[in-house]
Amino acid sequence: MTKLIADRIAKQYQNKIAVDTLSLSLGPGLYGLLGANGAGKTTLLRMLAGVLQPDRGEIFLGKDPVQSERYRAHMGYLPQEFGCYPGFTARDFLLYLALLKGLSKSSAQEKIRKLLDTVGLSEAADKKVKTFSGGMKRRLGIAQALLNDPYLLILDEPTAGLDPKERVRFRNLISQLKAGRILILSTHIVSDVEYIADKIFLMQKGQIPREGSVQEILQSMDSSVWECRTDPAQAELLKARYPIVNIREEAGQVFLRLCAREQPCRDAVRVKPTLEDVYLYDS
Amino acid sequence: MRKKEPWKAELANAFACPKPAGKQAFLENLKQGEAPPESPAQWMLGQAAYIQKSTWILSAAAFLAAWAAGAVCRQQGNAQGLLWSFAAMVPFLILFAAGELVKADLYGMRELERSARFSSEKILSTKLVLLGSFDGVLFLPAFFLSVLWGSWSALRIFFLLFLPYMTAAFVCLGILLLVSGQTALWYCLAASIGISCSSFAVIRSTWMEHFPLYWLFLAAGLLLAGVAAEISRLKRKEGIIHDEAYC
Amino acid sequence: MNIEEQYDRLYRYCYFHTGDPVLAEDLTQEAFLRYFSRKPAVGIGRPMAYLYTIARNLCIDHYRKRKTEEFREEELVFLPMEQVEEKMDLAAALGTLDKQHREILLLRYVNELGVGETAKVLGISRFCVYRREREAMEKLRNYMKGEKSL
Repeated sequence: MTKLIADRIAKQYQNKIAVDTLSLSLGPGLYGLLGANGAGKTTLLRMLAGVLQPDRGEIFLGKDPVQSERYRAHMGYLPQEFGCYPGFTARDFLLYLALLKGLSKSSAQEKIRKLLDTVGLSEAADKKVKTFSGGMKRRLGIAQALLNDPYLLILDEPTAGLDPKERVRFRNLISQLKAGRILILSTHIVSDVEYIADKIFLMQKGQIPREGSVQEILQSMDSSVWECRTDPAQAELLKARYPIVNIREEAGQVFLRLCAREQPCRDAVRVKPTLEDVYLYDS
Repeated sequence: MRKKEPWKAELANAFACPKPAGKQAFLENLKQGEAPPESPAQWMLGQAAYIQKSTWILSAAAFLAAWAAGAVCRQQGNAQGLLWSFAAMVPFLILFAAGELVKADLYGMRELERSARFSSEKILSTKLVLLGSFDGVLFLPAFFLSVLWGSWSALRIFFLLFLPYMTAAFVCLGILLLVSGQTALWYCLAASIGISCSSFAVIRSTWMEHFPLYWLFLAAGLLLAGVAAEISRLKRKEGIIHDEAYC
Repeated sequence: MNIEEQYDRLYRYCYFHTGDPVLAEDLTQEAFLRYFSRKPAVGIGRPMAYLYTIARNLCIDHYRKRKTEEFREEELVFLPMEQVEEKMDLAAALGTLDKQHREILLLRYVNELGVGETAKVLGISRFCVYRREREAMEKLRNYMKGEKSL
């Protein structure tokens, strides 16, 4: 069972620490990397994809170091943002990348046909990529990441720009893909990974303060989550005192969902924490 | 021979061994990592197809324009006009090549190319070979025509075409090492114009005809070494995202 | 010859050296991986020889390491049951040859490597390959004649 090993990798931009001496050891499974923008997710994934050189530390897939051709031969990467050469259709785009990934033209063409079908772009195969919507582009990006049937799949914000229906479709696709692979995906949307990930990494300021299965993370929360309904004045007081995970105004009343060790106000009701609560609590 | 065949089969059996257990899984996995079935020539041709047509067209057009300008000069009695216009033209060949090299940055394909198995380093080498060869193809007729129509020695003419080309290469590669994307192209344009005008002015000057060849030789040698060093640095750096742009 | 056949042949070669099917397969796969990650320029001359050389070196390296490891029980030599009786002669004949001769026969006649390739793999001259091959064949023939005459 080949593992992805990152040994004390770090990256710093001038005086900002993007990734702060992280170590990982990942076997096959689906890993969700949750964190707000600027937490360091993209930098971490870029290093794992061999696109960015760490300042320190090493990365291996089995015995292959990240700079080796063999590492990249077994890896698929979807960047957070990518473009396309002018005039390329979806098919041209995939063919170009297939050639760079070492596929022969004939096997590439068959693969491309299947992948376009899998991501629902068969009908747009011969349309120019610049006419694609954000969601279509994202799906095309996922298709290119799968061209070489990679063992290690790294997806950076794959659901960005997808509408809720597309997001559900994507979750189903990912669940099918994870068998026998190391699949790492980053997102700032908790529901993308909450129900499908084997392990979650919560990333903040270049570090991973919390990691584990969803259950483990929920158990690690030392506060409880409460819901209450109150008037705006009291709501302001509560906002100042406690971390608020959700707030909503309706008919002059304010509905709050917050974290507190003990009951924050009279009619507050304790509720079951979700991953979203932990995520927002940490941010 | 009939006698050998059954004997060979027997021998194979004598060396029999248990069936390998992991063959299928391994070969499936290997297919993704194995070297491509194509030859270097096929790879080159494949990459050539992805070089923008405008790069080839602009380079050819620049060549033809310089030739036309030179022909006009010749008609007006100026024999050296062709040499001047070709010397002024060659820096722009570098500019068009530079455009090809920054294409991946301009169109947001850098990360995807960098993460592919045959990474940006190999693509860069291939593009340099292809573009350099094409420029070489344009250089030859420029050289021969200049020798034919001009009055200076072939060696001098060679250097006077080669030096502006290598100077532009040296400066533009240096720019690409320091700056990325659209900005790099603007700087390369400015550099090409500057070198083009300078070449034109220098070659037209009266002392150029008798300028010692060994200085030209030395300059060419230094520029070659400089360009080689820059290419090597660019290859090592290739694909490393210019951090600041992605901060 | 496709890669599946290449795999089988190389595996047989590694099994010849190691006598252990699991190890033989590990070394076969390692040899393939190393072969395919070579720089394109290498191996254009004699690709088969290169592949077998890698495998041979891996086997030799393993022998060296084994001296410091625990003794592993010898696996029984494997022969498909229905062929046992018929092959006893040839297998027995082979058993009288030394390892070098057996290796030549395996490479030349079973895995069908050319003389030049075999020479490269074993690190000997072509002349030496011819000579050993002749010796091995003669010994086999003599043994088989001797058996028949019994």
